[in-house]
Amino acid sequence: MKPFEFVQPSDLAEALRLLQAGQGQARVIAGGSDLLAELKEGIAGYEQLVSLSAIGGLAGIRPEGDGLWLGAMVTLAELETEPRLEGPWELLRQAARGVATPEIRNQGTLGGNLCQRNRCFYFRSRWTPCWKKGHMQCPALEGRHQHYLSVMGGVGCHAANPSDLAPALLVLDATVAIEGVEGERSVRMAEFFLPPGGDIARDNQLQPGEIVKGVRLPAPLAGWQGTALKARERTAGDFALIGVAVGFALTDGVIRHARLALGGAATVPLRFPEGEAALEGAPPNQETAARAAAAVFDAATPLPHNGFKVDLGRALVERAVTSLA
Amino acid sequence: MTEPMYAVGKPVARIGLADKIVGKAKYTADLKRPGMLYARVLRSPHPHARIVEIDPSGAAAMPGVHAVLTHLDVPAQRLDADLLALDPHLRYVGDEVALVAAESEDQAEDALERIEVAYEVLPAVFDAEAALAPGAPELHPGGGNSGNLVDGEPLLLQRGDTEAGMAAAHRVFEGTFVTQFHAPGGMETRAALAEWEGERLTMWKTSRALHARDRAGLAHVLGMEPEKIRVICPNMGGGFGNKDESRMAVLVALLARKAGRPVRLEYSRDEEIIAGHNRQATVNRLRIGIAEDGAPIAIELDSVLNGGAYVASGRNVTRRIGQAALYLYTCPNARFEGRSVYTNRPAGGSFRGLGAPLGHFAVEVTVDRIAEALGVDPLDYRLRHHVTAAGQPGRRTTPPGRILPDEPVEGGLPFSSNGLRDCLLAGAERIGWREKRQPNGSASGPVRRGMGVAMGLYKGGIGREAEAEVRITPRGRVDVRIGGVDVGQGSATVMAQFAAEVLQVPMEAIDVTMADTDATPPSHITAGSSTTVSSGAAVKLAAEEVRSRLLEHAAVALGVRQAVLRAGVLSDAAGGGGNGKTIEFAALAAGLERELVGKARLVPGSTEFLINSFAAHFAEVEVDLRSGRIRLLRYVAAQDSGRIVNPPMAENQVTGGVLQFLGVVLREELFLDEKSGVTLNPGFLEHKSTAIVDFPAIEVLFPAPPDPGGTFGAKGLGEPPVVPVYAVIANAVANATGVWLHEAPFSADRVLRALKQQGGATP
Repeated sequence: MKPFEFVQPSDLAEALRLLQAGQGQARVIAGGSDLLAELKEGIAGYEQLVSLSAIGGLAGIRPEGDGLWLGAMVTLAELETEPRLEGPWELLRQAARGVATPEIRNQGTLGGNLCQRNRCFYFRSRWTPCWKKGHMQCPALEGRHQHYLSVMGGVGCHAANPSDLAPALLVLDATVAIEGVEGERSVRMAEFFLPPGGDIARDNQLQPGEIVKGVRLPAPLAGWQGTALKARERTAGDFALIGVAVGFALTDGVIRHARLALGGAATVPLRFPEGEAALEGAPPNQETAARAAAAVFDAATPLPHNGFKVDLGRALVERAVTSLA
Repeated sequence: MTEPMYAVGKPVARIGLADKIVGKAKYTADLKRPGMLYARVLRSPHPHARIVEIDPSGAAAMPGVHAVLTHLDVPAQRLDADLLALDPHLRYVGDEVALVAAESEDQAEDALERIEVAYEVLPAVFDAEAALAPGAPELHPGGGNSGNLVDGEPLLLQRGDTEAGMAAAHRVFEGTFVTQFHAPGGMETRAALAEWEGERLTMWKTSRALHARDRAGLAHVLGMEPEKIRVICPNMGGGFGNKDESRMAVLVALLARKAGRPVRLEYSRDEEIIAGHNRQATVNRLRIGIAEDGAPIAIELDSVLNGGAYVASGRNVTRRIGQAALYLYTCPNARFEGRSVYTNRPAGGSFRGLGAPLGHFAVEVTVDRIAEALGVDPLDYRLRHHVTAAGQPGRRTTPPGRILPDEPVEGGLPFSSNGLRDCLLAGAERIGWREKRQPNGSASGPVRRGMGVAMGLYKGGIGREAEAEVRITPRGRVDVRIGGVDVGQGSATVMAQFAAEVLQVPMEAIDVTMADTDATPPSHITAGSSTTVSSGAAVKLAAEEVRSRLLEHAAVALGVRQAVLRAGVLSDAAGGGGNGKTIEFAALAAGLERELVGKARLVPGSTEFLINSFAAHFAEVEVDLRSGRIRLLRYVAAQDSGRIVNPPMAENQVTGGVLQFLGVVLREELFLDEKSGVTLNPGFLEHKSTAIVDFPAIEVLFPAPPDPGGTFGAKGLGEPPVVPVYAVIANAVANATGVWLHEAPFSADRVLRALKQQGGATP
């Protein structure tokens, strides 16, 4: 690991000033569970790390009207045990519990989970070229180890964003509060992640010098409930091969306000209106669930070596839907 | 041995355990010497290349750098037939190119980037069968190889005539079983620290063979007398058959000599995984011919082992793949043909069990298919046909008076003991086989349960020349010395128990010294599950010798013709307590003018009996047909390792071995990019190394009696528990789903593919 300077400002304005002054050589660090691994592997290098851990305003969960404000520095462990995340919001707790290990959840943060980089083996190895590392090629598409790639296409890069929280936040219709030297702006969760096709180096809407300040959950819909499921190779902490968040309200035995999002399926976590439409107005049974899974996955375009993720995704969608019956 | 035993068989606490728990125990990478430098390694970015030119001057000029070592600086003596200390011919991505010693690791790392290397990139081959094809790029041209086939010919082991056996067979069952590269994954990465004082070298190193490999290898390559080299292994954070096969000792010694200062090299996790000699990938084609009554009449196994860039102990791995085919079932005709092949993958090496689990995978799954086809319970099939204490049919070919091999091929040799039946019955009873197991594929629903059984046989731990010294000091302490390494398996404790048994002294009075070439007699490598039986036999003999010295002193002190030692007290050996005088061990020792010494050197084994360890494992699993996940519900491991010397340690050894292999079997795999040769997942996370929360507690049984041939009745236990694991999981999955797994690890994608291809199970 290359040496770097570690600074721990106590107010947000100072952190933003440092990040801007660093001109790409300064990087924000929250829990560090992803960033330190990147630095250690040598696929990222910065002269200065600006820690957010001493900035009180970024911590904590508080009500905001009928909604909820989640600070960017709220840890995954705090989300996992937060009593206010109940009822319609319960699936966020569930998604947090599915992340990695208890140790990582104590360290990892909400903001960090949204901003972590992808898990493609070719991105993560210092020995291999990759679009996201500034090279002009992608060996991943020709390789055999495509677990962490999209099954729904890509433009150049096919790496899937690994955030387990994102699908849950998508179906909760959350917005991300972004803070920069010019002030705060809000981006809907559905627009936060940037699919490849534009600036390949960027994963999300953050401009240089900006940070995630927190996430807003709007007032929940009455009677709405959801669940978040994740397929992974081993129990003891693993990234998702594919993850699903599904939620709806049941009115007279039929589904209303259906929302369905997937992580690990496309390059960015996405809601799937086709799947939601298949659920809307139908009873929450196996047949409906299979129809929704088909609506999502019949158009999938898996790579030569990750077709099994389509099978996993179908199973997750079906199980998520029927579990809410 | 009907007398109650004094120390053997007792739940004695492991020596050194407290220090390890509280973090006080020192490992090689914890050590520092005055003026010590830190080394880093420049590794090949190409899977196959030749160094055309190398210019280290830029690195040498960097701040803090004291020495750079390239292939131009190393002796021409080889570490192994295919291994130079550094070689301009590079054979895998990660192969050693050069080393730097600097005042900090960062400085050394930075300096690596300033070594200018011009490579001629050569065509590479990663697949073993492709490497055997004509025209494939050759890794080690010349030497005794033919193309990339190690030694130029396959290893052929046979008994009887399998061609005739197959011709006479009523039915023949065939299957191809594939396994992948994976990493041993010891918690401690390799490290070495070299310090020169004039012409004398001291080296601290992670090692299983500091006499047999490190000191001998250093002396050979550096042209030194072995007496001028001292190698010490302070503590080992996991051996698992690994850590002895590398250039590390020689390179660090050369670097320290060039720098004129002590140098320490510690591998990072990715170096440990890439350059650390992994379990090789194999393809195993098995045929079993059965007679009309179902008995095996001919067994043929043909294996190809992808040995990677350097063969190291790959030949032994290949050989042991054959053991299950040759010996697990009573069968007059058996044949094994194994090829070890060079490829441009990171080098393979030895890992717990060597090839045995791989061969057992093929044999034990095929046997389950036979039982299913015959409509016989696979437990009953095994009870009927497993090799018995009588051994295999056929004639002994080992000359009379010669110690018998523990990887037998020939027939006509009985076992000293064979607990397969004990293990099968005890394990079946524990898991409830007769009550619960249903026919293969009879479960229904999206999540299906099933139960499997598999057996294993393995070397019993004999056959390695062993030496030991046992002293009684005037302070009343017993000093036990062997040159082997306690790699974490607890052999220091076992050696102390053996000495305590012979000398009837409490464990607290015993000091064990191991793993220091200056302080211990020479030793074999800590391998082959041999320490308890082989080194243990030497400790027993040396302790008996020093006891007879002590009894001579006691006889004088007591004024009797002959003394006897019981529970730490010496008395007249004559009946009825003799003259009634007694003297305590400690008091007698305190009166000694000088220490008493017992030394022993022997090759343990039997000229009449095969000594093997055995196992039968049972697993109950749940298979999710939609996710391809295999969840382990219960696992029962019944082991025949003869007398159990230390029950809690033995139980941990079995649990550890089974858990380690559940990870190996279910998901551990090294991914290689087949264009660049880059290892894509050199870390615990993506290698999917086992974590304790992944599996339920393992139920361990030791149902077999002491072995008449083993040391104090004990047989080897280090590796035997890993042997049946592939097969028992595959058989349990087949029982749950009706689908046979032929490719390991049994990751979600492979399970889903097998379910689709074999079409049996739809939810």
